[in-house]
Amino acid sequence: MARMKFLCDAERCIECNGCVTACKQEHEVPWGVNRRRVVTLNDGVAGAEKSLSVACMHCSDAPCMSVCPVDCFYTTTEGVVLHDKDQCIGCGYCFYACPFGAPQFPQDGAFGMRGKMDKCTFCAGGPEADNSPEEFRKYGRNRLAEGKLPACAEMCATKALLGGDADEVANIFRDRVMNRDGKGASVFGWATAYGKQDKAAPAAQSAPKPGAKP
Amino acid sequence: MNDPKRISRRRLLFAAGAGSAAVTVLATAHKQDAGQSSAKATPAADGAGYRLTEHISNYYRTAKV
Repeated sequence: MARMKFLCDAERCIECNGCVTACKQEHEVPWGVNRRRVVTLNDGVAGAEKSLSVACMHCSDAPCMSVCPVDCFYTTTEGVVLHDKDQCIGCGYCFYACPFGAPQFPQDGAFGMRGKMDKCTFCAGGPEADNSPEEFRKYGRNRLAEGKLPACAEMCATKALLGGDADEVANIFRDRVMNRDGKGASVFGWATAYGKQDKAAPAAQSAPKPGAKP
Repeated sequence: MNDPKRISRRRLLFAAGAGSAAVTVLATAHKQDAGQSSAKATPAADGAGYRLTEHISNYYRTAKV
């Protein structure tokens, strides 16, 4: 059985927030709730900035699940950690337990009242019937049931954010690290798209100049 | 002094009290049963989860770039 995992390649992430936007648009996530966000380390320090796209990491031994007093979390056969909003009492214990800050609470209630917890579902919906209107209203779209992967990972322009079968993701990342030969733009496919400069230069030199006699 | 009417009224009040107490106990027990049965969250049984579709294969291929 495949096990779902996210992995963000810090060498490739350019902090475009495309993953955040894709998630909000796909699931119609309300204002104030961010299931995914981009965290930048060493912000503003030239050459030392690193960005990472962070959401629920669907832990194997999830601390949110351990602390929930109403036991509203469950893990699917693919290792996706989901929760039942009908049972959630909005206590916020999961928010304090999660090392990634994944659990989110709606902020539109009166007096800062907490509502039902909301978090990344790995685009796998919830306990309701797959792709039912009720499931969409509570958890967003169930892309996994549609034979797709999370919108954030599929949308990532530089393929920094990888998602899917952990074995596949690990193989992709391993190949990248083994073949990586540079920094910045060179590691997210610039050379693949436009050709390496050292290879392109001889071709440019040998090309005839416009107006020159043959 | 033993008025048969008075005795029957006492019995009626006692019966009404006992009856309401029994109804309360039954209702509480039923509520607890319902709460226990839904205490553990479970996934939908009809779920069609991850499978390697053409769409996903294409994603893995493009992510290798």
